[in-house]
Amino acid sequence: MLPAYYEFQNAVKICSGLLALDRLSYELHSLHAKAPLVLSDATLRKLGLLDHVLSAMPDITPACVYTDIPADSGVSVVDHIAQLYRENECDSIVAAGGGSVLDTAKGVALLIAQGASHIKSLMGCDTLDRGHRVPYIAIPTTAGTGSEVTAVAVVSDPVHQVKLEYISTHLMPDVAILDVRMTQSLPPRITASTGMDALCHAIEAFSSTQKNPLSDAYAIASIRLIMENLEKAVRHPHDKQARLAMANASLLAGSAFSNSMVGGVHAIGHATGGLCHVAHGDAMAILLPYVMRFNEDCLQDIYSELLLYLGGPELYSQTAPARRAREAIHCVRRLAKRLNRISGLPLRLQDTGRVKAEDLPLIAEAAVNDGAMIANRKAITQKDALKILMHAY
Amino acid sequence: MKALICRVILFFLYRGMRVLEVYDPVLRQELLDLPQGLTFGIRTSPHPGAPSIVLVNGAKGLRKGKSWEMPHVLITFKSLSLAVRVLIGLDSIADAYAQHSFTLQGNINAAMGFVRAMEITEGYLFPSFWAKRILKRLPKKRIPTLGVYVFALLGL
Repeated sequence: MLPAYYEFQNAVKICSGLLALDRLSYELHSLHAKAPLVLSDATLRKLGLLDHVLSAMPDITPACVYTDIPADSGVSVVDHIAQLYRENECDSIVAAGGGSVLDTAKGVALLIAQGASHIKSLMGCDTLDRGHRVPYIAIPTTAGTGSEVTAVAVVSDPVHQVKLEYISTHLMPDVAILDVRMTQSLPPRITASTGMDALCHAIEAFSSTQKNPLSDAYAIASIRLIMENLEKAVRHPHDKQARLAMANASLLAGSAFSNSMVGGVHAIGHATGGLCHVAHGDAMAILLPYVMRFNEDCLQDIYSELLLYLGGPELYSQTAPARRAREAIHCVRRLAKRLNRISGLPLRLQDTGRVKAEDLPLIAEAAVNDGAMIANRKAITQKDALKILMHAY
Repeated sequence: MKALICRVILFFLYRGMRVLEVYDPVLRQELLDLPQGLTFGIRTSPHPGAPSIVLVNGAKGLRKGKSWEMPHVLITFKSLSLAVRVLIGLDSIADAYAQHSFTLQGNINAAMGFVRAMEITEGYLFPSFWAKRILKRLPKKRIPTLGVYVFALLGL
């Protein structure tokens, strides 16, 4: 059924596949970018991935290269880099990295576009106009966040131990470059974790209050790619087909949830990450089946349909209609267990070594105040969140 | 006419929340959990002069704030018609969020407590069959709907 009203936007140019990165220089020229700020992190610099990026723009000299972006980038990092952008008279941004780097770049672009100095002053949802144009090219090095196409940026506020969400279509990059050379060095454990993050985006996008026919199409395409390729990418890191498929799956899921939002898994996951510093993908992988189980009575039809994409047509047709929703949840569990055996992906919160039982009430309290909770179809109270966390512990 | 409807419902929403702050422990707890002094505004359209309200989570409970001051969290509906749909209970706040019917300025996390308090109030102000359509979960009523309206009108 069509929703009463929906919006869908994906204005990002997508360059995916063979030698995609080699088109960087052309794309920068087409955006009239002459002095980019290049953002990445220290690990990618060490791995030589930053060199790939710099060598793909031989005729353009970056005005500034910054690689000190931490794993959970915070508001002060964003403010500092925006200052560097201004001091070095940059005119565009090229960001190569995982979700933290790409979201930091979005925050910097937002500050420059709005002429502001502090990212916390721009908090909100759909409130900002386009402002000054800042060309931005995103090059993901993980396949999970989908940040290269989303209208969402998540930035940590370490003082209040929360993750702040910024939502605006003006956060979207101009170009996203998906090149397997940038994801091939990703270790199996992180490949598994980020891949489960993408699956979570697709499943939550397909079941949230904002789901619509276009986001559904993106989510379904993503789930199919993930179910066919995630294990392959974890087992065989140099399988280029699997890597490219996962990069595309992540992008498709990103576009899906950017237009239909995520729900309870992300609300509880953000709180877990904010308070206990559990990696986002790990939190998603652990919490996804538990939140699905909680939502099951409310989302029977939606989860039943998901079985077709999670388990394939044979399993779908062999399963009685009344059992399909539960079987869909089992498919997710089985995938997580297989990834656990291959790569050590944690299956429980205590396996992460970062969450203690006494943290759970605090996480539950923070989770119900996360903006993603509003898009979950079933109400999740603090008590419910605590129960889910205890099951997942 | 739409502006008048909004003014009337915003009046009952504010007064209703104040009544329920006394009678409903869940709503009271929601407000207690919010930072003291936090201000939350609703503007029914971006145009000047549109009906609006600013609520202050004060030390002595919920109060009306000064309408010309920028609140910490501000919901602005994109048009008066969209605000009317939410205020008369055709759409829930979650529906309106899903349909991009409003913009939200400020910290989304800080808004959630106020949103839940508003939903509890809607659960009292609307008849159950109506509230059931828009709310994910109906509040357990500690005072009859008529009582909320009477106390709200009397300003108790």
